[in-house]
Amino acid sequence: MEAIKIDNITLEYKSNNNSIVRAVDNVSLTVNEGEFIALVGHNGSGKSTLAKLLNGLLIPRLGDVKIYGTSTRDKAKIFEIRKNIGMVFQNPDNQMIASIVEDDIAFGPENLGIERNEIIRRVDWALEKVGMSEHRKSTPFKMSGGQKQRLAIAGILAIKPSIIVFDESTAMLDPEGRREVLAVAHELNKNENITVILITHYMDEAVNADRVVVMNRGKIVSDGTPSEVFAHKDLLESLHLTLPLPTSIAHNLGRLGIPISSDILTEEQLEEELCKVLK
Amino acid sequence: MRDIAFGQYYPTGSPIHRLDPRAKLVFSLLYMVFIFFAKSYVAYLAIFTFIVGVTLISKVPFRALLKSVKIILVLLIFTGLLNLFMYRDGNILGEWWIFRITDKGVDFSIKIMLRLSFLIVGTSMLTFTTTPTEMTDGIEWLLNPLKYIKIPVHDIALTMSIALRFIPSLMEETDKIIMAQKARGAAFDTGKLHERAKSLIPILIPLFVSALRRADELADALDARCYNATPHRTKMKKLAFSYRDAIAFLILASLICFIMVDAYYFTQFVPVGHIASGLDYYVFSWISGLIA
Amino acid sequence: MQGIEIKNLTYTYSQKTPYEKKALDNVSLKINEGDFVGIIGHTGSGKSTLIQHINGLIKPQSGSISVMDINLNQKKPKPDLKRLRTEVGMVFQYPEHQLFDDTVEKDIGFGPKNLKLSTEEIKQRVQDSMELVGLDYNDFKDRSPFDLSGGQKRRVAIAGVIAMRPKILILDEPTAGLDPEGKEHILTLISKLKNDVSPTVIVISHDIDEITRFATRLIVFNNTKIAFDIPMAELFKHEDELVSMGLAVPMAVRLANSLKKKGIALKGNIITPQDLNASVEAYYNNKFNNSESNVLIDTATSAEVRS
Repeated sequence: MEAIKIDNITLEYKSNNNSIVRAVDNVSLTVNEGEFIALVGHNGSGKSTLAKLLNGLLIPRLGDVKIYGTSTRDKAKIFEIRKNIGMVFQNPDNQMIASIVEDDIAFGPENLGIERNEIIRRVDWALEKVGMSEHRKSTPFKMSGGQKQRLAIAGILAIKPSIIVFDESTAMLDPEGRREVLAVAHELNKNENITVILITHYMDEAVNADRVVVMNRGKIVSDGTPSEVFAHKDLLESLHLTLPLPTSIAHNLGRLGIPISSDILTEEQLEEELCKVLK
Repeated sequence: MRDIAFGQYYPTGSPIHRLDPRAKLVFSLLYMVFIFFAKSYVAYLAIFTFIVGVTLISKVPFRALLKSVKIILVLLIFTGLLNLFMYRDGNILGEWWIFRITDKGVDFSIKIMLRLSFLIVGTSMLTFTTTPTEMTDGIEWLLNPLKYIKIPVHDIALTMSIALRFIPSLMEETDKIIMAQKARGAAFDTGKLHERAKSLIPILIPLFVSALRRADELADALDARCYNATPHRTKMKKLAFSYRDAIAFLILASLICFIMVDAYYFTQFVPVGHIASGLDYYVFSWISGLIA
Repeated sequence: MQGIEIKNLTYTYSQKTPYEKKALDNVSLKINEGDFVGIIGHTGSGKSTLIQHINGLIKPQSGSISVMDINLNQKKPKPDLKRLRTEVGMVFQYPEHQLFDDTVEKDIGFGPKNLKLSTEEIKQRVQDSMELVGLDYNDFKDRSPFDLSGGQKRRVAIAGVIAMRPKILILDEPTAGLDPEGKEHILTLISKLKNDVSPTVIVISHDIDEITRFATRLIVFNNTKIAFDIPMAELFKHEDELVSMGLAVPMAVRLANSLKKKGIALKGNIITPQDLNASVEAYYNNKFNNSESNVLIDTATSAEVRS
């Protein structure tokens, strides 16, 4: 089933020196329900603009974005869309509305006018899903970035969306926080069948995705499985995107004349391959 | 990072924290209004005892409260001095140029300083013991009648609670910016007044930029969480009055009664022209009796 | 003394409140002139508090600290913080958040202006600093810092610090939040600054793979204390300790150590991916093709790959 259908969309914005920049340039993309997609590209490639086009925070000038068949142009149904597609942003501090964890997570369902007992059930469930149940009554002010970001995810989960977009949600976190957030994203995708779009500029976060979509200058330049996409080393380098470290080590060893497979994504694969070659 | 700041929730889980926020808001309003009726030092002593008692129960350290008084210290001294020198009535104790100090002036300026201090301590007690969310719920409830004249009560209440919620973040941000500019050799505490004012620019502009950026991101986050999706917003937490609120009300009511009786009943027995008011006159007579 | 000397430093935030938190516990440390130090540790492990001490931004509660010839414990006369801050340059996390002036030139000139330098000297320093961070003076001097890209803003902010010509440069998470290209720029820049501006450099980072690329000494903070302080080349000996503290281990170290357990002992101190590549290459050639001509060709390619 098609969760998201993006059909030839284009959107420009005016930059500070008054020139027109085409942030998203005639992009089409279909995302199926249950997919885990990594959307990568360097800053200014248009990936974050694309994210905001998905839940109607921005509306394309040309073309159409449809979430489960509903166009984001349909103003009357905008909340239908936002209920379906949740968004987690970059800075966890600026997504927190209330000072107490449970109050903050209840904010979304409260806005939707959901009945009180159901809200409590959802808050319980969302906190459990992100592994923060014991912090229910605490204040997020002194928590680590990873914990705060998991709370932001819980706040979105309480809306019960079918799709979650992570808009560079790992960019401000330390490695531990990044791992936590990624683990939650994969867990939700696997066990709750939530469609995930992970926007990032860390290529190593893309290795476990079902599909990697690379953007540059507002266009999609590559779209395929991680191995397919990372095989185009030169293309990625020309876009200033660095390969995941294991992949890049394997590529370099290959250039040194060592017969090693270039189709390597993770450290485990690299280790196995090195054992094979050196034994 | 800073020590506890004015307007920040201070969790201790005390009975004061557990009062219904609506009750606490109403109590605070009553308290603020009625301290202005207090006439005698005896009444001020009663208020002082009351606030010390509340603080002890709340387990908020006195240091935190004193800090909130420190914030308005300049205002306090200014108001005190202005009244001290400008009060015209009463027996003149000393006079110089346009300044005149009278016994009534001294009396009045001490009382006004006490009143202001009690006011700020009371308000900070409210914010120390009430979470911003509770505050929003309470204010929304109080303003509820305004909904019928199409005033967006929830928006107002939410705006207030977000403002409170961002105070610690912005304080931390200010600290960071100050450190960064200090590290570039900026001095904020030396030089003439206009130089000092100018030295604030490298702090205020980044702070302003950051606040705008936060506001922008927050707006997106509110939208993403379906803010304004339905006019029939629900609430997870139900507010409920309990016996605690009743006890608290009785205590506050006794204080108010005491203030009013002192100000309007006992004051009529004070001889005309005597400086003392209310029960102070009896204390005064008693002490002069002892001396005689 | 040209370096930094810290003895038994202890610091607690928000003393005697429910928010009380120990940040540094009896930390002693000596950093010499010319050191290139990398500091890692979790958020709240004490590393940020330590560097704020070095710049006199927080006063020592107990323990002593002196930076070059400035004793920060001295009561009378008070330590000369102004001079301290010209000697120690500090690039905070997200330094672009401190930009405030309407042109790049004025913003970078803020520090030198505070030093009351002459107009010509200020201009010279701004020009030099911009050149160092790779921003063309004529192109950028009149632009508003707020109109630049994220990576450019950060370089302007760093230029603002090095315009003070500090002898010790401290950078806190210098690459946080940047995309790979921006990161690469900053990492190259740091090594350049060490050579051209500040002989002593201290970098705090979460990313150990990043730190191994330049630092020659590694200090690991754990739970308000220094867990260990070693030459970078010895890092491979400490994998288990890092893991037990929940800190990341460089991938090359991890790979080399687990290959060793499987009977493949690569030679040399393997810390970076480049080390790994070279050792794997040597191991492979040693084992499978001993013909001299082959080795020669491979060394040529390997030099190219390494560069």
